[in-house]
Amino acid sequence: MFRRHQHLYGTPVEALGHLAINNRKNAALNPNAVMQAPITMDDYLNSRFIAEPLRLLDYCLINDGGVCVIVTSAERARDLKKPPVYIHSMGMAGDFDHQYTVDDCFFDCLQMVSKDLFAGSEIGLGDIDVAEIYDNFTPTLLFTLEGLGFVRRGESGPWVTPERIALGGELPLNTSGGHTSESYMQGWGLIAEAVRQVRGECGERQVADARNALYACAAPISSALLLRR
Amino acid sequence: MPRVNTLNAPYWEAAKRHELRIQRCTACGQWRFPPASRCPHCLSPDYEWAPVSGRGKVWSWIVMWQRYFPAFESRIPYNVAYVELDEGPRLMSNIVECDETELRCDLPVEVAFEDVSDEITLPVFRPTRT
Repeated sequence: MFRRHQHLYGTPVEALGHLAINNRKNAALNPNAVMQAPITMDDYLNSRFIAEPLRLLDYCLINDGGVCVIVTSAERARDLKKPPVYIHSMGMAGDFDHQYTVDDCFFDCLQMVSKDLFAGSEIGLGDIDVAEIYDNFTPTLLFTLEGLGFVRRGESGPWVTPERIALGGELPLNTSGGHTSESYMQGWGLIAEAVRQVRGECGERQVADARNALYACAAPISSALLLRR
Repeated sequence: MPRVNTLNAPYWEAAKRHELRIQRCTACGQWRFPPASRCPHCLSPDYEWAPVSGRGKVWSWIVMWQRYFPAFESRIPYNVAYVELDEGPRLMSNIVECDETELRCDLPVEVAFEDVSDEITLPVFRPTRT
């Protein structure tokens, strides 16, 4: 699908490099991250191809691990030890016609998910302080950013500049290091990170005053969660 | 090697005769691939294995550098492409008789057949020569 995206929109491979490097930079601030050694664009471009055009550094890790998320009513959560994080909204949509060769890179699905997330809500895309997005492979981040509406369709490649997606940027992305650098927990690690960001527990990688955190995943079943204080 | 079963056997039998056949729903006329026992469009269980033009275009492709399958080790790096047939469905296959630098999305291709064993012939695709 990334090759197709390149064909349609001229997406540069360096966009994937920026995403991989950003993940690693954040992971260096996360004691739980499996991969913490910093990488440069040269490292990225010199990393070996696995299934070209994707390189080793575009791939999620393979690791053991565990994540626990406790979901309960707001009422019960009130007097628990940690401050509650609220599920503001959630969305889910499926597209099984072409599995992982879907022409629109899950765009229509994610548009439906986005509608579910923000319909009738006082919180909009611009209010998201931090985004934790499923990155089985780095291109999935591009597809998700487009589908949810952070950037116009086809324009995610030039949009993901290091400044914009870094801690302190317009949209801090995958602050834990994501699946390519923290660990591959099939999204659960990202959800835990979103919760921790909203609780203000992220130490050096904390996004200042993070109130609204997004978790999202582009796939044949696309889904997203909007978490808030 | 592909695993031949009751559902997909007609596909492989046709390939062995150097014919490309895929399923077409006899209720609504939709083509489909990969093989399925019901039509994903109208859910009818009735279908035929009908011959297709064998022409299509490269939807997208990758070049495999990783040794995932020992049987293909000697071919590394090899391409794996999704070919969109003129009839609509997409097949996963290889593009042959084509330099890797000439591969591109939407490249017109036509089917060719690679006899890989006495039982199995693989439909592959090459750039259309017309």
